[in-house]
Amino acid sequence: MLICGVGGQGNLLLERIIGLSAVRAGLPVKAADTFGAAQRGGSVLSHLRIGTEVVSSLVAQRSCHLLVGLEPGEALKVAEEYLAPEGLGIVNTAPILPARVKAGLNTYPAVAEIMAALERVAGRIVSLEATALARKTAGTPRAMNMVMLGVLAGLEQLPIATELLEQIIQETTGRLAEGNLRAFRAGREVGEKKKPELGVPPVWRWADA
Amino acid sequence: MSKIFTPEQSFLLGNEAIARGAIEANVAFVAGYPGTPSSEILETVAESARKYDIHVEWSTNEMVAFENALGASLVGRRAMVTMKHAGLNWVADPLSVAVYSGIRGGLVIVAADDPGCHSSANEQDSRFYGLFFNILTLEPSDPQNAKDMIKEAFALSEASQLPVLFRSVTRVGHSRANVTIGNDPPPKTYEEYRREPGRFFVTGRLALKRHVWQIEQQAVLRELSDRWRMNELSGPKGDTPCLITAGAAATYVNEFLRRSGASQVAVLKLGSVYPLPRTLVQEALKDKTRVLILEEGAPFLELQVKALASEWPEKPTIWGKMSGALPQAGELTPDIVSGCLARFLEGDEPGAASERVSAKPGGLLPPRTMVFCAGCPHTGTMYALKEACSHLVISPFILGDIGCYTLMCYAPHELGDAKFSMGASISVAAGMAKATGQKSVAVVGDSTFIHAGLPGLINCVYNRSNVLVVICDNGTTGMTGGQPHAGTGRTAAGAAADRVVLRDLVRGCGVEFIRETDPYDLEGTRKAFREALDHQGVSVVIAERECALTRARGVAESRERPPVYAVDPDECVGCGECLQKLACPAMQLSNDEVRIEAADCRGCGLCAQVCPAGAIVVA
Repeated sequence: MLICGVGGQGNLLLERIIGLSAVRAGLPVKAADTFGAAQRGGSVLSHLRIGTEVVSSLVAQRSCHLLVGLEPGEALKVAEEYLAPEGLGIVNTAPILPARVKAGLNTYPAVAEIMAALERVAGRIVSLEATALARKTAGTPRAMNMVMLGVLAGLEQLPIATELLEQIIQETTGRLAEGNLRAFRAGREVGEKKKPELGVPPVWRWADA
Repeated sequence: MSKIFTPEQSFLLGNEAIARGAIEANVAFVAGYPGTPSSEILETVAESARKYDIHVEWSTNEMVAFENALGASLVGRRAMVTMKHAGLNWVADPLSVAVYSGIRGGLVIVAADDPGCHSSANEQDSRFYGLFFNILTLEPSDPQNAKDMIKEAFALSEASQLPVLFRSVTRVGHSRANVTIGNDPPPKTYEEYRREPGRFFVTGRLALKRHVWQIEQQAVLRELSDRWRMNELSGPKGDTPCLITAGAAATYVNEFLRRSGASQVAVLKLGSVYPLPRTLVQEALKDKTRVLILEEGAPFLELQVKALASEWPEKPTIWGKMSGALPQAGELTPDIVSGCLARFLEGDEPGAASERVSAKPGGLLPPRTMVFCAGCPHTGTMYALKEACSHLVISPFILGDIGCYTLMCYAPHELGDAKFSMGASISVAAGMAKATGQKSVAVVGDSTFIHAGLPGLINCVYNRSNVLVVICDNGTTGMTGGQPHAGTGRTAAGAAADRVVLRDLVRGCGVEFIRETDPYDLEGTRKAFREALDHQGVSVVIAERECALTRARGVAESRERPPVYAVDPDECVGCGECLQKLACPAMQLSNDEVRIEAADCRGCGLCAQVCPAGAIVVA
């Protein structure tokens, strides 16, 4: 599994929550990330691998089963390199303009163009306006990562019970847990609705195929 | 998330696991300087320093940290020094003499390498210091392995009477995994100090005598390495393919073999990488004709294995980085290792390392360079500096240094001619100024200045350099995660400390022209820079304003709300100055209109000052 986004989107927190939940659920987990850009607007990529066959903490090219893209451009970059042919991508469609674009030195493609390119790379994409949903349910765009976690749970793509995920969100986000849980549950509703049309079995059953 | 250790499976960072291993080994003294990917080690120990009676400190630089730890070791305390790889370059000087005397309390140097330069100016392979200084060198492969190894490192150091070098990399220190916690250490007790100047006061003829001792200790090191249980040889004897690996590379090798089901492969997974465990290496090579060495960094293992093999009857063909089987630059990935291993196991030449798939799909996406946080004072500093310099007939040379302000080289500022290592900005600027007669500007942070800038600044005064030194004082060591330093008034353990005042330090160096300015005040800061640039000789401008992230944390705790800015659409003329000149992360462009995201705005007010139409106001 890969979680990608821009520094400041809560990429690492998401990885930690999923990882900690998996460990509490008794699963072996390996994860890795680079956080030089964790706050400073660069690209962030977290690798997360769950299962007994896992030794390395890095996901190999073309072998990512689940890609969580907190930003569409980042999702495209990572999908191109890492997504397995049968992989599933869950993408937030709110773009974050790079500094060079803001400075007028480069242009950023339209989100529709990015999503079209993503559809060509990945067989299955679930896309949503997670930032807007976070604003609506938690009152802040910062809870977008919780919405995405909820979508994962609703699509049944994590071998972790929803109750455990919610418990870990509570434990790790303290004061902000209330808003985060609302965002998480809203995301879960979206996931549950998309599940039948997607026809994707739970990841931990098809990942070893 | 707090790093609470429970006596059961925990999901830990490699660095947290290293900290826990050192605690369990009864370390009593931990010093270091922040440096990615090592900083969490000291921070984690600091969290339970009082509980386990451990002295923990951020020192002014790694050399000072090592010297402190050496002192602790001399009086029998187990000590650990933590740093990124570059820190070892500072430690080299005192280490070069310490290895002649040897140590008392186990002394472990943790150097965290950064293959691939995720957060570094180079990707040096620190293991060579082990060879250069003839000390036992250990290399873990994952968080659990790191914890188990460091726990034994202190005893190994005492047995060898020398420091031990513990080499981590980003993919070990910054990986997370299930880690089993061991027992708390027993209460600490120490032997009484004995004076031994004949051993420790190294000077004159004693130096040569001690070198002879150091060389004789190599026999002890070789035996310790040979007997150590954390070197593992597995797989069949006889003429089968043989792999020698260590560190993070071992995890990719291990996983490849599991997935491919290849069983007729001998694997030597090394834990002590200097000196090599000779008996085990010879056993691994016995009857083998084809050997592949997979390691992260430079061909350190390969050089040693080839040297050993030349002494023995076994003469297998040995491939590795030197023979082009793996790339020498950049970090290893599962794909690079898989490609190489697949060829090797099929009986082919493992050369021609596979290319990494390009991440840019036909140039659809522009580069995403790093940018100052919303509210970062450096944004104001760089904006003002650029404006001030633009008024000069001849552009000054601008030298960058190491910290968040390094990002000045990226859009929107794109400032800086060169950057090297910690504190180098001041003296490189001086060198350029002296050689050309032109004014040069050095931009350096507060922590970096205290770390490495003082001798350079004194030299500017003493040797009369025409340099402006801009000290970006944001009251923290920012890029590495906001650690305290000597100028902040706080220690690593969170206690109050006497503050070193930068202005006094600078005046103490003999500088007469000093200006202090607030980077949030663009007009005032621009003026300070212009005056400083016009001044002939040494000038210093201290741009002082709290780091936006530190401030945000304080705000979160106190729950006070700083002002939030917004663009008034009626007044906005759509010039784009604010977005282009500041590129603030809190600003987004939607439908060709600049919008400030209230949740991200930190209220610095720079955008309001930059706007020519006065269209940005407090919301």
